[in-house]
Order: sequence, then C-alpha cells, then structure tokens
Amino acid sequence: MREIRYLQAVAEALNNEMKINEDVIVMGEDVRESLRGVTKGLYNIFGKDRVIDFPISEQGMIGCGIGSAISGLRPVIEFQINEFTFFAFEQLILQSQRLRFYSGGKIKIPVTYIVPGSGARGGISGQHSDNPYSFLIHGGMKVVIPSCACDAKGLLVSAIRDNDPVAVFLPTRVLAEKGEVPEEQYTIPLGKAEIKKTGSDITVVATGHCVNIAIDIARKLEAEEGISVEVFDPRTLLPFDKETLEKSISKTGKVVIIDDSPISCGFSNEVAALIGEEYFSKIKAPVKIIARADVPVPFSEPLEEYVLPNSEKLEKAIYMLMGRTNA
Amino acid sequence: MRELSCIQAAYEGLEKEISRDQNVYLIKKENIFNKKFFEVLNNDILKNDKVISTPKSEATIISSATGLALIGLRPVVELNQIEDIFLAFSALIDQAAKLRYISGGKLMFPITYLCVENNVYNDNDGQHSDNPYSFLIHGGMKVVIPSCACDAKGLLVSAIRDNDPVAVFLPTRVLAEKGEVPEEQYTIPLGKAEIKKTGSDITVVATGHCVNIAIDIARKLEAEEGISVEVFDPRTLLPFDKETLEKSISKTGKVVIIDDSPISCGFASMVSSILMEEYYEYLKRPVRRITREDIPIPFSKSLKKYVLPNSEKLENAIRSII
Amino acid sequence: MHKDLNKKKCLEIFKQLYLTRRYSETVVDLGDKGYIRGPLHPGLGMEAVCVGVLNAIDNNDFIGLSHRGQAAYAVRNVKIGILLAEQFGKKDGCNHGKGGTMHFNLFNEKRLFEVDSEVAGKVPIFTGVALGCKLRGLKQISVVFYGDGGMSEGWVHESMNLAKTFNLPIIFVVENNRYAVTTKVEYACSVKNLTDRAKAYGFEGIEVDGMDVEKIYTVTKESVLKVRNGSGPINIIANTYRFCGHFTAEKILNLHYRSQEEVEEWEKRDPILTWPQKLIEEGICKREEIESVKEMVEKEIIEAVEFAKSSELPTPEDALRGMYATEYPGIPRKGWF
Repeated sequence: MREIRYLQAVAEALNNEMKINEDVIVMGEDVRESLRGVTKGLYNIFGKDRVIDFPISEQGMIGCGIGSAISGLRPVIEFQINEFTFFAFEQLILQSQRLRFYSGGKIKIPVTYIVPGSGARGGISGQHSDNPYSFLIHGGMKVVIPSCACDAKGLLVSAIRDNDPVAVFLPTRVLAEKGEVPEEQYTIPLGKAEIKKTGSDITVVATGHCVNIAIDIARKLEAEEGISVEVFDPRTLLPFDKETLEKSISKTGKVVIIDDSPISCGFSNEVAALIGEEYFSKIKAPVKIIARADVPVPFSEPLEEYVLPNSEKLEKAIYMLMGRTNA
Repeated sequence: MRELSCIQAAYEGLEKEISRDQNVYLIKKENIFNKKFFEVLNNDILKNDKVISTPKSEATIISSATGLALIGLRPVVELNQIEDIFLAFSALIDQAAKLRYISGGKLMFPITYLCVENNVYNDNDGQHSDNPYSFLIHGGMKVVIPSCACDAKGLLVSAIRDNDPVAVFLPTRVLAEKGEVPEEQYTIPLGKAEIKKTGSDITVVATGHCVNIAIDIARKLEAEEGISVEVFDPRTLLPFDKETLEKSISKTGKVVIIDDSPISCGFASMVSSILMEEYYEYLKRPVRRITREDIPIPFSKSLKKYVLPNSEKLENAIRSII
Repeated sequence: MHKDLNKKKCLEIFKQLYLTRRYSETVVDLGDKGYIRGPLHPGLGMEAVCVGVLNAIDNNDFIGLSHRGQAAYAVRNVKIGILLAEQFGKKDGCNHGKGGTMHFNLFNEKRLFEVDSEVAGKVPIFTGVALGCKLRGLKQISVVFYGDGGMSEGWVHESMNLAKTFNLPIIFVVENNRYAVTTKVEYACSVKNLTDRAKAYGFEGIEVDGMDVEKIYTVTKESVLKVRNGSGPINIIANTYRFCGHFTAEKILNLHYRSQEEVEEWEKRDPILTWPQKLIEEGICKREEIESVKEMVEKEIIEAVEFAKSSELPTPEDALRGMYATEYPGIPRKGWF
C-alpha cells in the first residue's frame, strides 16, 4: 500500500468528500491559497462558492457556518490558529453545540471544525501553542484527534458525515508523519478506540502525537526491560470508548495517561476520574498522569521542553508503576 | 452578629475595598437585571464615581480590564450573565490568564471577575444556565466559589487584594441565603478549604450551593442511619487545598464529589484524578461524581431535574459507597 | 520638511529606519541559520509607520504594537540585544525567554507591549489603557497598531464604539499593507475607504501615505494634539506594504496571492531609500553622514548578536515561575510528578 503524509491524507479525505457530496463546503481564513495545507488545490477544483475565504471575524464565520448547516449544507470550517477557537467560543458551544437540543431535536447542525497544526510547534509561544480540546469536551462537543495518517483520513470522513458538530484536531507534531493509507474513501467510526500496541503489564492511554511517544517507549521497554506496554489510543475523546479501556485495564491493572493539554480539568483528568468511578476495582495501583503544566507554553526551548509531555516522563511513570527504579 | 444575604455580604466587602483602595474600580454592564439585585443591597455603590457602567460589548469590556490593570488599576468586572464568559473567552483565557507569564513575569494583572450567577435556578433557559468555572481552571486562572455569606465577603476581599486575575462565582442558590457576617473588613485566604461538617465515614467534596445540599443530606443520614458524613468545601477551586483533602480522605477512605458543572473535564474530574493519582492508597471504594450531565440544560422543570445534581442523587451515591 | 524635523531629528529618523531594517533582515538570517525558532513576521517596507507615529508622540505614551512594529524599539532606544536575546530564548531577553518574537514586553521600561498572537488582541486592551488614563486624569494617551486584517475582528469594532462613547484618549493606527496573509483588503473590507469605519463610529479617520515618514509624522502630530486635549479617539489609516511574505515560511508554502510586479512597484518607494534621498535633495544632510549612520547601525547589530549569542539559556525549572504574582503552594501544577 502506498505511504503518504498525514497532512496529505487529510487533504485527500476532504477533496474526495467534496466530490462525493456537493453539500460539503469549506470555510476559513486563507483557505483558498491554503496556508495550512489542508485545503490546497480545492479552490481550483470546486470554485468560489464551495471554498470560501472569510475576513478575520471568527465569530461571524462560525455563525455563518451554523446557519448554512441548518439550511442544509455541510460546512467544514478551518481554524487557522488553535486559539481562534477561543474567539468563537460562544458560537461553538452556546450555539452550534446546543441549538439542535433546544430545537427539540428538529434541526441538525452537521458542522466539522478542523484545527490543523494544533499544539506546540516549537517556538510559537504561549498564544499559539494550545491544544484546546479539553475546553470543547467540557462544552459537550464531539472531539476526535487522530494520531496517524490512516486514522486521520477515516476519522475526518466520519466527522464530516456525522450530523452534529465535530471538532477534528490535527496535532502539529504528526502532520509530516508518513503512513499507509488506503486510496479509497473510508470511514473510521467515532467513539472507537484502537489498541496501537498490545501488552499485558501496563496500559498507556495516549492522545495525538503522544501515541507515537508511547509506542516508541513501549518498544524500548519491551526490548530492554521486558515490560509489556499496551498503548491505547482513544482516537475520539468524546464520545470516549469506555469498553475498550475496560478490557485493557482488566488485563493490566495499571494505567498511565499521557495527554498534551494542561493537567487541571484536562482530558487526562477525565480518564482518571472515569477509572476512579467505574473501573476502580480493576486497577491495582495509582493512576499516573503525564500532561502539560498549567502554564502557557513558553518560547525558549529548554522551557518549552520542560512543560510538555515527553518520553522521559512517560518512561519514569511506567517504571514507578512497575515498582522499579529508573535506569 | 447581624445576618446578611450572600450577595449583600459580597457587595459590602466590595464597597469597602473600593473606598479603601484608590486603585479599585468596579466595571459593570448597564442592565435591567442589575436593578433587581441592587434593590436588596441598600447602599450607595452605584453613586460612586469609581463605578463605571459600560455598553454591551462583553469581550472588549473584559479585555479592557486587562488594559486597566496594565497601568496599575485593580478593576473588578461584574458579570451578571454567565454567557459573557463565553463571549469574552479569548480575553479571559488567552489574555488575562496568560499575559503575566508571557511577559516574563514582569507585568501584573490584579483583576477580579465577579460572576453573579443568574441561571438555571431562576428558570432561565439553557443559554443562560452555565457554570463555566472549569474552563477557567483549565486555563490556569484562579477560581473561588463561596457557599455562604461569610465566606463570600472574605473570599471576595482576598480576590480583590490578590495580584492575579481571580474569578469569583456567587452561585444563584446561595445569593439570598443569610448568614452571620462580621462588620469589619476581613479576608479568607485563597487556597484554603473548610470542613463545613465533620464526619468519619465518608467525605463529600461539594462546591457552591451543593455544599448546602451536602450538609442537609449529611444531617439527615446521621440522624436516620448513623452515617457520619464529612462535608469538604474547597472554597477555592484553583489553587486547590490538597492538604485538607488528604486529611479528610485519610480518615474516611471514601469520597463523593458533588459539583454543579458538566461532568467531562470538569472540576469533579479534577478532584477525582488528584485522588486517583496522589491519594490512591487511602481510597477504599470508587470515587463517585455527582455533576451536571454533558448536555445543555433543558427548559422544562422535569427535564432540568434529571440533568442537575440534587440531593437524591447525592444520597444514592453515598449509599452506593458506604 | 515639517518644522520640528531638524537635521538632528532627520538623521535620527534615518537611523531608526535603517536599524529596524537591518534588525529585521538579521532576524530572518538568524532564523534561517537556526538561532531563532518559530515563525518570523518581519515588517520589511513598513518601518515608516511606526517611526513616523512614535516620533510624533511623547515617550511616555502607551503603545500596543503589532508583529510588524519592530521600528518602535528603535525609536524608543531599546537595546536590540535584549530583543535578539529573547528571540534566542535566552534569559536576558526582554521576556526572560518566555514570550519570544511575538510578545516582546517592554511595558514598564518603555511603555511598549507587543501582544500580537491574537489578531488585534491588543486593541481592546489598549482601549482599556486609554480608559485608565482618563479615569486617573493622566496626560498620557494610548496608541494601538493593527492591520487591515485585524479591522474585521469583532472587538475592534466594539473598541471603537467604546472609545467614542467614553471619549477616550486613543489613536487607532491601521498598518494597511493590503493583505491579511493572502486575503486582499478589497475582499475582506466592506468599505472602499477604510476611514469610513471610524466615521461610522462617530470620529475622525485620516488616511495617510504609510511610506512617507514626514506625512505620517505630520498627521500624528496634529492628531495627538487633539486627542490630548480631549477630542476623543482618532483613527489613522497608513497605507503601506510589506516587501516580504506574511512570514518567513511563505516561500516553502508556495503561496501565490500577489504579483512580483506589484512588489517591485512598492519597493521603489522603500523608505530606507526615499528618506535619505529626500534629506540629501533638500540639503538637510550629506551622503557621508548617511553612510556614517549606516556604519553605526551595523556595529550595533553586531554587538546585539554577540550579546544574544553569549547570553545564557534559562534553567528548565524557570518554566514554572512567573505565572502568578500572588503565589500559593501547588500552583502552577506540573502535570507530572
């Protein structure tokens, strides 16, 4: 099977979906020239009525997206910068997430929000490095965060075809990663996690690019220390696949959660709380969390590295839970 | 000691701070709703020239408070519609909470956001019904939520004197609750929880008006079944008082968290994860969370009852663990 | 030449323009060599706007800068070394390595703050600064810079409304370089004359040639007088152009939204060329004096780069400091043990 980059897989998914379904339109800032690469070439193929550049007015843009979704279109809205989700937060949560409910279920709002290049890109500092998905989860919105090219294509297609608002986060540190991606259009259902590497000693719940960190550490520890690590990639953060997590925890009894958003009230807390409430009897040790510190991402490299989740921290957590001292 | 309602106590503290400190200003939105509350206040706060009424431009008002702080003022921004937090999300999360750090720790933003909740318990519809403090916690902002009149005054004064942005939430169901409030100006330090009722069988972590629900259930269970419930009121959500929680959990070994915000990635999840990570050895039973469901608040009363935390749910949770 | 711009001032202005240009070019070069991380947004071609405006106001007036406002540092005699040190992530940088290129903070020292990751994010903040000046009866005014792209942002409109309603001492300066990344101003703006926006909110909008320091200086000088005397806000639209891409990564991304001919037309009006030309033609100074300024600037740049290179990196644990002014145990939480 051919190998393509994650970003290419996403662009391909969107391109194909626009061919299949003429209700799918793209809205965003600089999406015609495609600053972020997701919408490259779409304007030339589908024209000005299906690929729309907006002025820098995020609230207005999301509002337009909601309105066009209610009237039958299927907009895919790109946030050029992660923190633009904050500008439009009221429209995202109070409007797009809730209007269907308040209408008594009569209207549907099939919007897809794409956040390309989410997370810390290395030197873009505190106001461009967020991974704001925990905010959206708390607001009740469906959120997916694919960790590899193959998942990215399938999940984006599912997100577009879903009849509710879905936020798709494309982590910056995996955009250039290559992977095998089928040529045809396919879906990966929302709410289905995947075990990226099986193991029996400890479960590592990882999101986004942290999945790759976890897989690397898992291979290393298996080869060098004989520790068998299972890597659990939820892929969809809301709705979260509890059943697959339960299976994994029942097997291992130990959990480390590695997630690239601030710790307090972040996704890592949600998984830990879920385990504490519903799977308490299945674990044998404390839950360990590796998340971002509760600070904006600093600019300088040693500072930035210090606050973000990384492989050393994960390795140390695994050693602690396995009752061994760090090598 | 005389009794004041929670909102009267808070505004008494606020008014005294405005008089005491030349840098403290109150920014409020001109709003009919204000008048209903100010009727109970019986004071001259509105006539003070350090009280500024603004038009309906929430994002800009809240962001401009950051500008006031930049040149040395200590603004108190009154938010009486909680959806203002959503409209000004960027101003709060991306500016106020971050700028001191990004400036290299050189600048100071001593802003207080006084969130007087008028929400679902006053029969407002779902877009006016939120308790959005978990968002602010995730953004690293200090958050305080008093459960009684006495705490409200002391915590608000501390919040105003704190040199960082602090969001103070006065929950709707606590606003009219009366309690003994000292006349003098006093502070209650941030980051200090209070055990509102001691017990030995189970710890109930409760916030805002859920503290009162917890105290009622605790008294009921003690009287009727001899179950000894300890009610832990964090008062400050961030910074959270882990030491006092540890003392309580090491005694009881069992926890129910009752919090009036949505469950996923909410404050209850944060407390539970602290327990599961740092105090796991004390836990004997699962950690139960009683929170709002992850859905918008419906308008109809019976539907509302289903999604909000209440005393039956708390009682059932306690019984399921004991 | 404006009566206030004597020979000394004119040469200073050239130094500010040239220093900014050389600093920006140096930054791009250092970025290519890997000394500076992250995206870089130089304002090559736009120097005249900041230089013109900042020379016309008081050194104590508060300035909210855009990411292309590097000239302001030259005008206020900031040592370029501390900016470069910040961009190198060193602890002697103006933000101690925490902020980087897009967040230079010199507010306490020089009343300059670049809060520009959010588009036009500083507009409501500096409206607040103006409100504070008014409440306290301060003589200072607030000046905030943003681009034609930022003009569409919701809170800019709210700020303009508020500034007029409260009669605030603020000057809104739009650096109209005609493009918001790839989006043309004609596409994004509902009005043809950008000054109509201010008029809609009830105050004066003045359009000026943003490549001509003297014109900007004159317009700003007149505006400042009015604003300091309580006229309320004024909006200056400075028509300028960036010769470089939106950011340095643009070449790799292969974006085509403007023609090379258009860029070359505007490059003919480069203030680095036209300003000294004007000074020489008007007999204000000689070519040797211009060259001498250039030499001084080159020396300053070399010193600044040396300073940045030899400064120390911060210790990693510094990442958890500086979040709160009133500290409490346990915050900020680390996120790991």
